Amino acid sequence: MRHVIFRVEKERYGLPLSAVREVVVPPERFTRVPRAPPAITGVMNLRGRVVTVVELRQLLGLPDGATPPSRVVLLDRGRRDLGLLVTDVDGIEAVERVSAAPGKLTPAIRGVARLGGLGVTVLDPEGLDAAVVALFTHSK
Amino acid sequence: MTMDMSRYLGLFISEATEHLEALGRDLVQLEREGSSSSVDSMFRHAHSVKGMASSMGFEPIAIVAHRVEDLVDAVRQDRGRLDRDLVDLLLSASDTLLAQVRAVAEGRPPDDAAALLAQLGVRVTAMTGHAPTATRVAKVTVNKPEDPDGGGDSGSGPSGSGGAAPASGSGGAAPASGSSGSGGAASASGSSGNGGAAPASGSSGSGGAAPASGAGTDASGDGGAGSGGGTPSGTAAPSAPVTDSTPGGAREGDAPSGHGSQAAGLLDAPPRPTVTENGAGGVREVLGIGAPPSSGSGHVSPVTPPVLTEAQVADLGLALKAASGGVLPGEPAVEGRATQRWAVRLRISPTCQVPGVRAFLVHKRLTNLGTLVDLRPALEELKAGRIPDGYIQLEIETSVGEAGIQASLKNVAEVDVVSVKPAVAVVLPVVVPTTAAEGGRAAGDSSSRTVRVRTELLDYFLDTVGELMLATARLREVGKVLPETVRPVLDEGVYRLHTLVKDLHDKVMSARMTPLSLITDRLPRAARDIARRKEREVDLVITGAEIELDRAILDELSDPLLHLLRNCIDHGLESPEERITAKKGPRGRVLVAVKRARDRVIIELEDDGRGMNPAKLKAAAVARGLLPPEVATRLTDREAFMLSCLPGVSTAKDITDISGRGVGMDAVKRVVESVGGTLEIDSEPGRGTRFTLRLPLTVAVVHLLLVEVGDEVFGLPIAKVVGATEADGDALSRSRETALLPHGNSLLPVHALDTLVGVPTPGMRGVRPFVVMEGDSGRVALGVDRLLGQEEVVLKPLSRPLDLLPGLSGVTILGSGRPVFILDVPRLLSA
Repeated sequence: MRHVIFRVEKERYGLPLSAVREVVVPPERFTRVPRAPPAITGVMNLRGRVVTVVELRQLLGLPDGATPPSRVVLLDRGRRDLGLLVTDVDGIEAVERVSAAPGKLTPAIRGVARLGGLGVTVLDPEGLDAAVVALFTHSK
Repeated sequence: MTMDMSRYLGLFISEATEHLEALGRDLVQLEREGSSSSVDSMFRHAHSVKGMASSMGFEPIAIVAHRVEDLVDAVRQDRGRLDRDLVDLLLSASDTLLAQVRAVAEGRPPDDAAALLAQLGVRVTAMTGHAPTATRVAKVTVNKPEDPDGGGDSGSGPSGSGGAAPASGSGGAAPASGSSGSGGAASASGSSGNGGAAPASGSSGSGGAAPASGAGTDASGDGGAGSGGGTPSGTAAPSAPVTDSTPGGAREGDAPSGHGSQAAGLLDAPPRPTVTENGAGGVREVLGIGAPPSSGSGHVSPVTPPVLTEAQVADLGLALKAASGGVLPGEPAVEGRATQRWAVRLRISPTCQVPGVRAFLVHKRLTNLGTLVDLRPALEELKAGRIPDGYIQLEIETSVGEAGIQASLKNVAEVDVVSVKPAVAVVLPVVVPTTAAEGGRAAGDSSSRTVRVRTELLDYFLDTVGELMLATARLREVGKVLPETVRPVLDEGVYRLHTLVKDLHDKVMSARMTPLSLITDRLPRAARDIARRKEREVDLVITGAEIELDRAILDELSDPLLHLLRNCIDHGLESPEERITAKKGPRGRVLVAVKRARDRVIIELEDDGRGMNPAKLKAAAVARGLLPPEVATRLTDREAFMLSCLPGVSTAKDITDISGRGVGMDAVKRVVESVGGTLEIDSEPGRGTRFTLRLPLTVAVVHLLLVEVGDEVFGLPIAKVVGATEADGDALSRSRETALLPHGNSLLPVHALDTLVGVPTPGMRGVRPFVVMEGDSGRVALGVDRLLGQEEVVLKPLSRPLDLLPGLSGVTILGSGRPVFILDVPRLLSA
């Protein structure tokens, strides 16, 4: 299945192509969301739609990095407008045979796969969605 | 082997729900007034639901509906049989039916409601003197319930998917299930042993037996009576060689067992003729099965199904195809060719220089073929060449069939025929007007000019138009930085765009307008239930329910209105004894009056009960620590009444299952305000209470006061803003931790907006602006950095996950392209 491959720092991640609507450059500034959890970068205006953008690094609980995020991966989640802030997008690759990820499992991670000799973490769109909603519901 | 009925599922759900809600209303009305028109209309509703449910194969629903029909029929013959218990039973049956329909809508099998059925059965036996008859149900399966109309177009249905499975009913019940004429289809597909061949044998009046035909699924597109007849004839002729009276039988329409009739049944309110007991004869005739024409009782002995030869099966397949395609090979089976309705979609090539001319030509060609029923864009627009994206849609009633339509358009240059499909002929308005003359909804002129549209689609239109408005505003902003030389041209274009979009917005808004009766129609039933449980006597009077409101507001209002009604009956009205002691009539009165006042709709709910006690409310609020006692004493009575909207404040003596827990009124107030309305309460001890809801006609446009805090901009709804003032934040007096701002002759608690919304700012020192707003428990002052001015914006609802945050009521995009949140200050303060 074809996946969009992107990076958070050096780490590579993949999302099924069918789950990604488009990739855009983040705006100069995001509108901050009052009382939102810290992982929520803010909202942006994408051709008239208000898209909530989440920093993937924080969503997955990764350590802080030095490189500023340069792309927003927009998920195709029906009427829910959700974007993931990532370091960069590499391209589209076919990813086969996803095996279970080692270590602690979160619903956002489907598993790992090999791609060109390197590992790539395959994310689960539904799980990501659930993880974002969980951020909001747990913060209270 | 079953057939796919999913295409009709959505229709079934909405129509059945409508019928059932109407049934409930009729019952309440009947009990009150005893008019014979309600009984007839109840019978029709029950009957329609039975027919639809059996067509769809939802046996549990069909059976309950059948019992209800039996009981209503008994009442129809003798009005004296209607007592309170029977009304209760029928109401609970209609509730059960609604629950069953909901279950189906959610993709679950409907509950079989055994206990209720037993009760109904006992009642039927008691009233009619004989046991209830069996209900016949078509054997169909509904696939993909979540996508009722997504399914393939014509062609997916017919070939070999007829659902014939002959049910071996016994006793009084004739074997009914499924597949009249097209039972043959099942045999073509080699379904179970019996070779399909229409064993629907005399199934006495089983409406359900009629439809299950694959061919019908397609033919249903045309739905017209003529072709409805055509279908069974097409299929029945080969499948039942025994008969020669087939076409006649089908034509007579006594048993239009073709799917066309089923479609009509689903689409149209009046009962189908099929389902009557004497329809049996017709069915038998169509099928050509030599069963004795019994007198239409349920007692028909099963008949041996005719056996088909392979050749016949092949023929049948062909005939089915032909019937569905509307192009019959060779001689048409029925005299003449039925006029059929087709939905045609065309596209004028984008490179076309003269779209208006081409479109006009198309129009002319097609009018030669038959009657153009619906043309979009309208002819005037077409002639003027105003064809969005080049697409033209129309419906035409013609006898030339698809091939004829294609042929006539073949040599029109620069026009592509995108699709030609059988169209559903009977269409209904978005909302069924439910005036007193319910039955007056004739399939007249108006109904043929309206379509039923899913509300999500309307929402989508509104969203998109809203985005168009924002995009236009953005363009205008961009224009401001252009050099003077090019600017006028752009400005002119933007101006024109703005006018068009504004116009479109108005049209979309008017398409969303829905009469309040959609929700007030439920109130009489609710009032009856509450009154009965609380042993109150109540007359509910509703006026002005025909006034229209935006659908989105209406949807939100349903629960609040119900809650207010409960409040009126449960707390407002006294028991009959108390009322007599108070020198009032034993029956309480609740008035729901809807009025239109300029751009607002006012809904008043008024009871003539005991009224509210402001002192008690103040005491309750103080006791809960929601209000300092000194503030409470200063409140006017009106303000005190509003205290009942604070969470947890209730003066009800006893907490009941209906109300009095103090959770509801705050929700009512919140909902009303979230749609941009206001709630007022007025009450006079001993005389009654009046709730007044002032609502905007539409939700889409709101007036905002834009304020800046740090780098962020927020919108405050002007409706809640009392005023603004400047003061030195450091010089304000304080009470405990809270700063107090003098305003008028009172001191208002001050909140810094930056800390409220969690946006850190350097912290403004010295003189800063304060916005004074209405809060839940009195006014508050919000400290902001800057006032940016007022703006009228298109409100967008918050999508997940933003809707999970407290304190936000929506979001909008300013002309600069910047998204801005609209704050719900009371919730921001309380959360």
